[in-house]
Amino acid sequence: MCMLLTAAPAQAQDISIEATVNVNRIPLGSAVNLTITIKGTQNVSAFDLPPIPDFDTKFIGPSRNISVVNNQYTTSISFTYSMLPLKAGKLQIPMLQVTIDGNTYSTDAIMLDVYDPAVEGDGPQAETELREKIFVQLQVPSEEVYINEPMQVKVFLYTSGVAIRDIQYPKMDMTGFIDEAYEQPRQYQQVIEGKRFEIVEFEKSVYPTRTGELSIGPAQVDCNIVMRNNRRRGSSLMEDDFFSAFFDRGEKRPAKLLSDPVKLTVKPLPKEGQPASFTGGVGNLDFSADISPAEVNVGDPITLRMKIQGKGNLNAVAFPELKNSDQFKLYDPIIKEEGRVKTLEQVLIPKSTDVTEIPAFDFSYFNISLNKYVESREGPFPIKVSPAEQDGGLTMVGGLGQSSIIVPPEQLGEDIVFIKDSPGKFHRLGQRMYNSVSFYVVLILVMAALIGGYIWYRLTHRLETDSAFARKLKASKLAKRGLKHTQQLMEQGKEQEFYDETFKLLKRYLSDKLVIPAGTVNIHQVREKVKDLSFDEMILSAVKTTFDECESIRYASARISNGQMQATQSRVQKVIEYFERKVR
Amino acid sequence: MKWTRGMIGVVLLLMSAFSAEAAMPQQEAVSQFVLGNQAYKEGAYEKAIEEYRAILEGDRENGHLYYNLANAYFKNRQLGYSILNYERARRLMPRDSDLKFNLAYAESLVRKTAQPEPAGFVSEMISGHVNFYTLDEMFLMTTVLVVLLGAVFLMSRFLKWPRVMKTVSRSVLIILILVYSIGLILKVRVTADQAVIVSNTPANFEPLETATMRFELFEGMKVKVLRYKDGWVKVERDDGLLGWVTQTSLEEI
Repeated sequence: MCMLLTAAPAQAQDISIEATVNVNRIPLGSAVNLTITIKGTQNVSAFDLPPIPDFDTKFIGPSRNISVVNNQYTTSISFTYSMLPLKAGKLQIPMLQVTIDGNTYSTDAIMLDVYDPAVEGDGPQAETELREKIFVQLQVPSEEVYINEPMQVKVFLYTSGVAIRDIQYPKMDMTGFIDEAYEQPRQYQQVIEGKRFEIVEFEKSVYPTRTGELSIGPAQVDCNIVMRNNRRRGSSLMEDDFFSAFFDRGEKRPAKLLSDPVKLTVKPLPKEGQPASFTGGVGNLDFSADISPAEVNVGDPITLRMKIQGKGNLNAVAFPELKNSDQFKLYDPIIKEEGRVKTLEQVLIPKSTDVTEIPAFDFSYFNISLNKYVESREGPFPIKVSPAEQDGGLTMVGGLGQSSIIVPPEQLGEDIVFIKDSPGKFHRLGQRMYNSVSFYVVLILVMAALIGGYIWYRLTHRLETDSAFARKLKASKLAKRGLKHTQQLMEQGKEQEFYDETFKLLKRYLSDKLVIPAGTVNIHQVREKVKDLSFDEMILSAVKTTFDECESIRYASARISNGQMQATQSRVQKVIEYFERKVR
Repeated sequence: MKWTRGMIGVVLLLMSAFSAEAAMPQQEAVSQFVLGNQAYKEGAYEKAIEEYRAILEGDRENGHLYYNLANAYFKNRQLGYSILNYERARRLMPRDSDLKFNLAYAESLVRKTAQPEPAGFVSEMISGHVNFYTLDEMFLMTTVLVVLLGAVFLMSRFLKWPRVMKTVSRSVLIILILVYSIGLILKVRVTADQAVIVSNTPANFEPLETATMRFELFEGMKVKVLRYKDGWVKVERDDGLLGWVTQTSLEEI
């Protein structure tokens, strides 16, 4: 038993080593603290103890110490280990050797007295092993099973006089099996050979998935064993059992408890008598199926429900299939497994009114207790399929008010929409509005009206705003009227009035036409206004003549012949006509 | 250049207007139509096609007729002629929902050579606008708007509208006129020379039987007719590829 320690160069102090325990007599199921103290150096790192027979060891931690005695300066380091005796009786912690800086130091051996608290009195101690006070057992109901046969595997954790905490569910090697989750573990007490045991029982279902020799386990249960700390027992009121328990001051020590493995022989299912409908179910199963509704229209869904329940390998069992599936539109089934019940829900839509039934479903499984195949049949289910409703009335589907009605995704048909029934009005091939004459006639009329409207607007607008233009426009009208009047005067032989009116007429006309203020009209003004228009000199002289003539006659009141008036009238007429033509 | 072509298209359409021959009387066309419907309902699609076509031969048409004819062709598994007639119906009743549905469905059955690129928002809007109206409606709309613009112009003068009102009303109308006249020109351009392939055909490099095939055209595809020559037609596919096909393998809409 030797330990090589890589210590830093130690000061040239005397190095000594000693091992102590805190208590020498303990009950089985408790631990002692072993402290290894190295004096004279602190430069030693922690080390694991070598395996010590009959003990389970665990490192707790180091502690450093400096003391001054008689001016002597001493440093030390201690390592504390928790030692759990694995059996009762006189046990020995052997000498331990520690090598520091090439020098080997050894501790003394320590004797421990471990007693079994279950044995009354201080009588001679039987050799009791801790393994007998806490252990795990694995149990299977039978060593010979069929493939896929469900079986209950149990793991028992026995404890007696040992407090344990934090028990984990058992782990085990399950190669070749399918297992389900553990059920809620049970706890009870039992007296075995005079000893009272606390038992925790774990149970789960397991199915072998291949034939031959298989083994389950070993089952491993992890837990913490709570050590009683003897050292402090009764030393203070605060640390009595009540407070210890209350504060859970006991030291926890992780433990791995292993059971023995179990061997199993897995037999194949018998071939003889195996029905065609067999899908692998083994156990004690119950099959049921139903449909709803039984009366539908074409295109409406029918819900098919199947249920397999009981003890068995439900996850390996398949549901029977629909036989005349080509008569239905099938949606993907929804399969659920809850506990010991496996259900299937599937939507079927009958394709035609010819479908009269959903054929029977055959289900079979191997019954373990009867040791033979069992068959059961559900159906056939008669159904009535009516033609699809034309008026689109409401159709109740299901009708049982289940919340689990499956609404299948709507599949819209694909085709063209039906023809038009009403012929509408036929027109000639290629006959369009844009090539019809009447349209263009109307259009031209409308455009003409608009253009007319615009012209009208321009005109009225100018008459309102341009007085010169208005006078010009009026001039010819007034002249015409004036000429008619003078004509009448001439015919009546009123020569004075005739020349008066003619003079006024001509003056007014020229004033309007040439935009000259009415009072200032004379031949010079006229000449000035028309000088750019390449006027006929004859006309201008005619104007002058007329003006002169009128002036002289108005003031001379001489007798004028009708012929002279005629000449004046026609001259004025000619002048106005010429002006009308020439001046715009 | 394209615009002038569009305008020429309008003028040509106007000129093709007046061809007076004795057309089938309205009453006769209606009874022919009913006969066709009856045959269709009995599933005698070939007979229905015959009855409907008799109306066309009698120089009578309308949207319903083309629609029903297209349906009959569809049921008779003549996808090309079906789409052709749906398209013809669409030019007369572009907003008919049954028609839109059937045309879309028929077009979905046409073999595709390439996945069409998804149309952008703008082109989607433009084609929506162009396809919403018939050519007639678009034409009428444009002319009415022009007349309205004139009328508004006059009214604003006569009634002495305030300047803002004048500007707003005129610019709104001018924008609308632009929208509709451009739509009209696009419509004329798009619809002119459109043809539907009525039987699967190779499109060759040259108008010869022996020429190398450039690409294949499938029944129901739409192409643009560019030129006729000795029983061959030069066509342009959607993606701009050109090729020569025999005249019997397509029909102009």
